[in-house]
Amino acid sequence: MKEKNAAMTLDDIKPGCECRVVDVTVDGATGQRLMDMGFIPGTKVKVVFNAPLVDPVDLQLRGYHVGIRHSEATGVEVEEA
Amino acid sequence: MVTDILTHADGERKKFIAECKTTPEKVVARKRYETAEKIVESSVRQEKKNLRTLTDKIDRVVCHKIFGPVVLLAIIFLFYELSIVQGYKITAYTWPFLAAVRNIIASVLPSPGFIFDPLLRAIPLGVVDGIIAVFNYIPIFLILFALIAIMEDSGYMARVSFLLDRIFRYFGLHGQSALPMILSGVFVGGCAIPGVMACRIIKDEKAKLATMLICPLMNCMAKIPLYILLVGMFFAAHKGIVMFFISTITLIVALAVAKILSLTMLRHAETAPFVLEMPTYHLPTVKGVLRRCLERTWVFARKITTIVAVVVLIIYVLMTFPGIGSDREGFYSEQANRHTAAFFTAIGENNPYANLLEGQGLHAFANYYDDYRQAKMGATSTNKKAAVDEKFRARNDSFFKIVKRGRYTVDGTTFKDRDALKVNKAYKKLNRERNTIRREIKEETIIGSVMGRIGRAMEPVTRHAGFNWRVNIALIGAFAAKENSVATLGSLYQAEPGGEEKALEERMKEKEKGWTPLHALALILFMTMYPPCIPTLLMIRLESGSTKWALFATLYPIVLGSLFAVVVFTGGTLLELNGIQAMIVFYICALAVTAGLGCIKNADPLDEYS
Amino acid sequence: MKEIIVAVAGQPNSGKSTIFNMLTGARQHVANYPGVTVEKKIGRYTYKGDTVVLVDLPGTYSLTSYSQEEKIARDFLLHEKPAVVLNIVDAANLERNLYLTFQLQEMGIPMVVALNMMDVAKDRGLSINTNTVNEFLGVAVIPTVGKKNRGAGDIKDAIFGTYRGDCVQATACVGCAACSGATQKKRPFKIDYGNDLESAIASLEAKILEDPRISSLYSPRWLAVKLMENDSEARRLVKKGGDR
Repeated sequence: MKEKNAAMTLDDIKPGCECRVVDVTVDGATGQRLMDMGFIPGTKVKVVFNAPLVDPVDLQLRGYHVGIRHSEATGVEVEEA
Repeated sequence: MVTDILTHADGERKKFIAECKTTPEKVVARKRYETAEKIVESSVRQEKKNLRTLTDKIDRVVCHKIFGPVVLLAIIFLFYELSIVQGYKITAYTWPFLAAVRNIIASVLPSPGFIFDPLLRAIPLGVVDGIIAVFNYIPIFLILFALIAIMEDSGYMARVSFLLDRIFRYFGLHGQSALPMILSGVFVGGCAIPGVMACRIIKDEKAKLATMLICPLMNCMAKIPLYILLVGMFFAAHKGIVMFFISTITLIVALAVAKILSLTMLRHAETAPFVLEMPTYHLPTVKGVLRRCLERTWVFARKITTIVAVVVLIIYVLMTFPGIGSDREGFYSEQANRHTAAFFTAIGENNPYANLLEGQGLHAFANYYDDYRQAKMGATSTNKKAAVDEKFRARNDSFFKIVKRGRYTVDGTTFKDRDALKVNKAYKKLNRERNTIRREIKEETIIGSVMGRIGRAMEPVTRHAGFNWRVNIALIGAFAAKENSVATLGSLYQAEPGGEEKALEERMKEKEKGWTPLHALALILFMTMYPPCIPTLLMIRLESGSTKWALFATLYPIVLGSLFAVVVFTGGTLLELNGIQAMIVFYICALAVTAGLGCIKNADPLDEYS
Repeated sequence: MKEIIVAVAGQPNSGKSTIFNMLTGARQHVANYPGVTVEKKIGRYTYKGDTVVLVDLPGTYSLTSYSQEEKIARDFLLHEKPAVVLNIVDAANLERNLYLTFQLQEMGIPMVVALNMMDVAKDRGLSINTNTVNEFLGVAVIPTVGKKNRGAGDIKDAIFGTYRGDCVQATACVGCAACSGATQKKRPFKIDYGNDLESAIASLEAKILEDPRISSLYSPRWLAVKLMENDSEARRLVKKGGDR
């Protein structure tokens, strides 16, 4: 899985908690898409809930909701809000 | 010059990344949002803390671990109730219109012969019958499209994708594959035509193609008549279980096929990031829903009619030519002549109507008789019945007297014409004989036609699936319209002449005494995998943009269906399983295979979780 | 009698279809974008004797090269030369919607913004000063409620005014409801990407201007930004020297 000192990603945040985006670490289409939807450094993101089978996860940011897969959430580095 | 620009760009980009430790894309996105935030801050004021709480409340239920799927199932069920069940009820009202149109066309074409119909009548009518059969589905489509538009406009569609994405992804599909699959028939009779059309909403190329290719495997409405026939014949005691088996096996196989496709043929197709917006719920407008639903139905009707007409024509021709040959025609004509002679003997030389019915007169009367029967069937009230009588009396007074069995009223006086009654009785017998001859001609025509020869030629092979040549013909003919499979079987399993009118089930059972439930099971399985109908193929071609996929979509189900049928029939026979046992064994194997496939990792590099 | 081509662009869920239907009514039909299976809706209305043709672009959140729909939208804007772009913006999600608006502006086509779903914004407790937005963007900003058919007339006025150049250049203002004259004082809106990136863009822009064929076809600044982002389609367009 991940090394102990690896950075915290959106994937690690539990439902109901908030965090702040540090960086989008994945490239290509996925990274661009995340940025297009507003995952910019400094953005506050709240994890609302997971789907019944864990994936995808519903996130709230900038006043709207977006669902992304956990595999995509690992591409967003965050810090505590 | 051009390369200068690109080289310069590459240089600047490298320099930027090295100096600023980030990429231009990230800076661009960030600056855009920062600017947007500035504008919003200056121009938007949040007056009360009212951020979409209603939507959130609804989502707490709709996306809940337990309630979510329950709500989803309930909505799917509602979908069916409204579109399929109620839609079918509505077709009962619209069918008479279609039938009326058909009759108008039929009356314009050259009239039917006594036992042979002119081609100029038979062919156009065959095509018209094929088209109105498809048009009969339109009420169902209208309701389906309206419901989809409501699901989309309200915002619920996004939640469906959200809920189902995980499961679907195990099989190479996408959350958005849900709608197309539901439309094509999950658990109950659907239709792959709107199903494939709905694949448009899937942005991920790989999942879109996979979904399109498995939609035809789902429970298409047109397969149901054959299921009912076979289940009624061989599984009458276990109707519920078998229908459950049929409804669910399709989904199981579809998922397996999707997975295999995504691992093999679709391996290199484009995938797309998931990122799905969950918009606030809002009430769809009646206008918006109607507009969308009518638009889509119109597109369907327009695109489908021409192609269906052509294919029905081709199939019709293949089922008719080369015809029974002049020798046989002579044989039947001679039979008809004998029956006609017997008719005239029965009514007696001195019967005043005998002259009228000589030669062409009999033919004209035959048409009159049929027209009258048909008109009476369409007349539902006493007034309408009276109107029909008026019309036919005006058309031909003498014929009218005959069809009324000699009892008619003129200016209040009731007449009892015994001569007319005699003619009526004798004609009834002749009519039965005439219809029998027509049916026999039809059966012989089909058997000797191109289609029939192919069916018979294939029998040595299809025997292993339990299909005899009659079944083969019915299956090949079903390509134009699966519902027709029952009608074709009806023509191929005629009642014994002179015998009572038995249902097709009984006729088939009588003729095929060797048939067991295994035969039926194999046939049912082949039907579940039956290749898509022409309109669906057309949709696949349109939505995928390639004929290659449409061809593949036709061929692989045939292979799969044949495989299943053979395995079940031959395997079941060798292992001496009865129908139900074979069904259960097959079901368990299918479940195991699909579950196993679901465990195989996708080729997705980003996926740590499958 | 002229035909004015207007591209209608907007993010998904912005009510684009409703506005499109509101403006064109029954006068619309569906075609396909060439070579692909994406639907292209085309409609029209008459304005003071001229015919305005609206082309509905696929709804996209952005204009990158990563999805077929974005490519189609971009391709239309670049090569079909619409006279005006009508950008439908969800008033309740202004921040995210502006992200697309900026990209449309960067392409250099005269633009009208329809601030749609104002009723939903109001229900959510949001009040928006359209004049402020107009001042920032320098384009006509029309509040609309597509569902209730509100704003059609104003949009049509603004489209016409923008087409004539009144709203973007400071020549003659028609004084339509859009901004009551504020626009004519504005320069074309530009985002500041920060000193480092801006200097790279400027240098690249200069290089692009050296090639008259390319610089006449595409807005140099837009192209420069795209090339810095390593946009594959933009690179391809440059390579083909302006041929599609």
